[in-house]
Amino acid sequence: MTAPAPQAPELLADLVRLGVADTAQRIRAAGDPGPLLGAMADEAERQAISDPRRALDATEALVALADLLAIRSAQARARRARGQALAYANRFDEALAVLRDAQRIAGTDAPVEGARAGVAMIHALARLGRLREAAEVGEQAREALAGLGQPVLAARADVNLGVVHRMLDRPEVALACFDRALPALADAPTVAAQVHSNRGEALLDLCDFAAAERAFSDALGTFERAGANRAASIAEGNLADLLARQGRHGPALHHFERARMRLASEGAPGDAARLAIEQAEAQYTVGLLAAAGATYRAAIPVLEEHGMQAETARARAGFSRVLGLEGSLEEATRVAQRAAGDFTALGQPVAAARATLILGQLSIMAGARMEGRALVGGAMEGLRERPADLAAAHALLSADSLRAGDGAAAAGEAEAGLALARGVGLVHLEPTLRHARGMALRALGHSEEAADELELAASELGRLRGTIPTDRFRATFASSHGEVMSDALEALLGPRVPRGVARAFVVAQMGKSGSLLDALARHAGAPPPAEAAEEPSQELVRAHERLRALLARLQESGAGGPASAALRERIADAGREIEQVSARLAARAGYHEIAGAPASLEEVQAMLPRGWGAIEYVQVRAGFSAFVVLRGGAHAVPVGPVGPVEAALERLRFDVARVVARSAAGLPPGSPASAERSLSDLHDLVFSPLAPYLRGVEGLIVGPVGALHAVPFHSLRDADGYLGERLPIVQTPSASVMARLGERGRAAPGGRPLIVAVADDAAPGIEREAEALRATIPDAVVLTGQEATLSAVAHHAAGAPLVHFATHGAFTPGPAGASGLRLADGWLTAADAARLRVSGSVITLSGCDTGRVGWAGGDELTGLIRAFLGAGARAVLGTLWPIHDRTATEFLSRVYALWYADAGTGAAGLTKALQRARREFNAGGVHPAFWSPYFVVGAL
Amino acid sequence: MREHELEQRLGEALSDPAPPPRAVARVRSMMAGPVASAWASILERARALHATILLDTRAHPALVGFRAGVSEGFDVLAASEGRELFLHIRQRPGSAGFTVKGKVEGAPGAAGVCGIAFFEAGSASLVCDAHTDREGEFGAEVPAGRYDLAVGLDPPFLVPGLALE
Repeated sequence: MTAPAPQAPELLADLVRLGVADTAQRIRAAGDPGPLLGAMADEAERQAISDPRRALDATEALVALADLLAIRSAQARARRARGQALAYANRFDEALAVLRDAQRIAGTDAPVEGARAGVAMIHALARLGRLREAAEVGEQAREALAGLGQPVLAARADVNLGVVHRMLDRPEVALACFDRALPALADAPTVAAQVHSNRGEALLDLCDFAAAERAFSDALGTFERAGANRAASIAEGNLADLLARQGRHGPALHHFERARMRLASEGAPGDAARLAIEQAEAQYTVGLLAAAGATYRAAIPVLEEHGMQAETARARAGFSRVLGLEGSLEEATRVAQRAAGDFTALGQPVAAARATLILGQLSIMAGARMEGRALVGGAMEGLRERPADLAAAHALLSADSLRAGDGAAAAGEAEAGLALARGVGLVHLEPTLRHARGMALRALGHSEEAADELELAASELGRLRGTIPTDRFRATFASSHGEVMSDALEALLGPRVPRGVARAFVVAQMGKSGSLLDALARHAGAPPPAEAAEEPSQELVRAHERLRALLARLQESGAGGPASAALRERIADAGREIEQVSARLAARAGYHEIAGAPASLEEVQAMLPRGWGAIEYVQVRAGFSAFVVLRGGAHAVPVGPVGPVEAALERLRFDVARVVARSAAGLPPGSPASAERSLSDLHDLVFSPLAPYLRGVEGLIVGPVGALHAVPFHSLRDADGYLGERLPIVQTPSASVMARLGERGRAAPGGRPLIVAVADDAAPGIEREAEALRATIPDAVVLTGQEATLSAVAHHAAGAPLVHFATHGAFTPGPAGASGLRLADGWLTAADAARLRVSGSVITLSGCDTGRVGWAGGDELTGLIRAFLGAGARAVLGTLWPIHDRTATEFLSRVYALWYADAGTGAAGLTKALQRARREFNAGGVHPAFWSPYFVVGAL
Repeated sequence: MREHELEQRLGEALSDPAPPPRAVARVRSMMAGPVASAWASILERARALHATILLDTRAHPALVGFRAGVSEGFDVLAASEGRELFLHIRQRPGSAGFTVKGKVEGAPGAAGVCGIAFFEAGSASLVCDAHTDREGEFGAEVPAGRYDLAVGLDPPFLVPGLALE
């Protein structure tokens, strides 16, 4: 290192600003220009780390200045600095040319400078994939520097050599280089931090996760303190990669997002693309296939453009896995073959073996079993020092053996994989391997042991889900592991399994509305999420505004008007955008490793009011089953296939649509016979199999699943009439959700009920409804017409024991936040509703389709009800289809009158009031399409 | 004999409720002419009796008397001399075609058991046809286009110029 020259930074800045000639004059005037030029080169290299763009300008001028001054060593030095700057800007070919020029100029006159140029070449050669050449050049330079009595410089050569050996899949050699370098670098903390970061990568290759995490964290801290943003981003990206490989999804996504933010401010697209492929690997692990595929597609051309061959091959390998799971086996095979070939050409046998493992998997998926197993076997040879890869290979072979009917081999492979995964702490692989082992044991007839293992797999998955930030990611994760839950349920409900029903019940709870349960656990005892760590984001605000505007346009465009389909698609897009931005903000803000605890069977039995029963539906592959829970016992009952239920629901929706159309055309609704038939069919399909277990119950809690969320359980009809006339019925996303909602208690005393009413020409009854409710609830705050703004509603809803919305509703399946309620100044979207402070409140949504939900894997729900429950509401009254304005006014006015006449005793009272009102309206000959859509979800 | 009846008989003859696709295709091709010919006379009579459109949800800024109720598809309600036709129409995802589910009422309150045919608007070119069940309900997959929809009750009536696009 050249001796410090305080004026070097200023001179370098002036050089760019004033030009070469002026600076040359100043340097000549200052005395011996050699040391000063060296100091300026040092400064330019520092800039290359922290500000590559500025360094490029500075080094270009510096080379010109050195040439003008014609000092040989300074010319070589300036070119070395220029080479470093070009390499940091990912312009590797240019960097190499400049560094060769530096070596040529240095010649025998400046051997140290020549060797240092050689050291600088290692990085550029490596990034261009010329790894063996890089190792040779580096070794020569290191030996030269050691021989010239330059231990610090030799250590720097070792650092670069270590990186190259790592890329050559020789992590042990790399580690030795780094360890040899460190003692000589004690006085250069930033460089030492870089070595720690590199050591971390080598340790990661060797699956020494704990040591690797320490190394990355140390490096990150040092870079942050030194203000080396880009180096910090790389260290943080490495840390994220490490965490993702261990299945620690929450912290991984947090650090990825932070690294992405750091790199966004740097001019380093190659590094950003490298980070992106690591992030795509994490997305793949969580099950976000579409997102991972998109990330790979975007990153591959950037990596290619910057000549980052090893990273390009890594991206292709990852991309091929995504393509395979998406079913594009031919394309996946082509991409994986290319990756394997590229790794081989780059001299990276371990990486090539990983790509071969993928090829084996793809062959097995394509039905070429023997060929696939041979490829896997070959890959395992190349991966024998890599326990994480071997564990994945064993999982693959286990599944294949099971499919081929060889239970013993499947069990053996799974056990071998489990031992490896446990040995290196790969918690995210354990559920997959346990699942494989459990299925193998089941095939071998070891029912009890199989049930134990599958139960454990399901339980570990539930815990892993809790480490994933944001509902969207959790839902995707649950969806991609749905088979484990189904298999665990089947095994636990099989013969000879002790306490099978009770244990299966808990597994079922893990597979239903997990993210809602997590949200309730996260906010338990804490303020609702209104102020929960969502930093102001213009991007998010704009996305919300766009969604509100689109919802308004949808309503203006007409009920199913020509633009309706396109608008709906745009609304879904806006909803997805809100989800994505929110996910990024959440990941940036931190992570919460909280998984809501599922309720046990005993807990649910204790929660049941005396005389009540509960039905918890589950879907196992294409069939429904149900747990019937009574205080004194529980049964698991097969219900029937999904298809006929969906068909019956379709018929019911058609019946309702016809009644709605006739009413809108000014005609009477017509005969209820067709709707009654549909409701009877649904009764036979989803309730009759359970009825024998529920004789004599006085009330019913129903936890639907999947398509059953659209079933009006209270209107199921048998020979004795409608179920909801005989029994109060309350629904819940899952028994666990109901239990946790119940624990939260009611809204704090002192709050005033809120009535929100936004009438218009199409629905003038809304105004009358508000008046009727005002008479029933005299202490209510009433916001009507222009008073019912978004901000006024948010203000008055906070702490209100009851919030009644009478307004237009819109349901958008898919994105969580895209459904809404119309207010005076825009739409209150589900995303807005999720941030209201309604803990313990009862919410009634007197609008069209307000209780409809979308559902994804793990039965994660979207829609207004999910949003309000997530915000802490104790119970929500929603509607399953469009509601008739006049009848809604009459029906709900009556419900409230009955409810408040009974002293307004919370959701239990509301449910009973609904039951009585239904009876009255049905007795009065009102078509069931008008009084059936209303139902209550939540805690009693 | 109607096309679907022939298919059904073919299935019975082959003791297979889902006859081979190629055999079905041949039946379709063989019956295309006779079916079109049977419908031609009904169409001619139907042209004399145009239904009144009572509701086409695409034409309304909002469903009067409902609190939004914007459905995923659109609905059409038409009537002719006390008979009624209701159509619930959805675009097929990822396609230019439409799924039509309908119900025909004959005399008020009675199911209308009859044939339904979609003709290219203003022509006698039959695009597809269907038959109601005992409840008067039918379903059809219809390509995008503009249609004259003939309802084969006695007397038949026509819903002219129904745009599915």
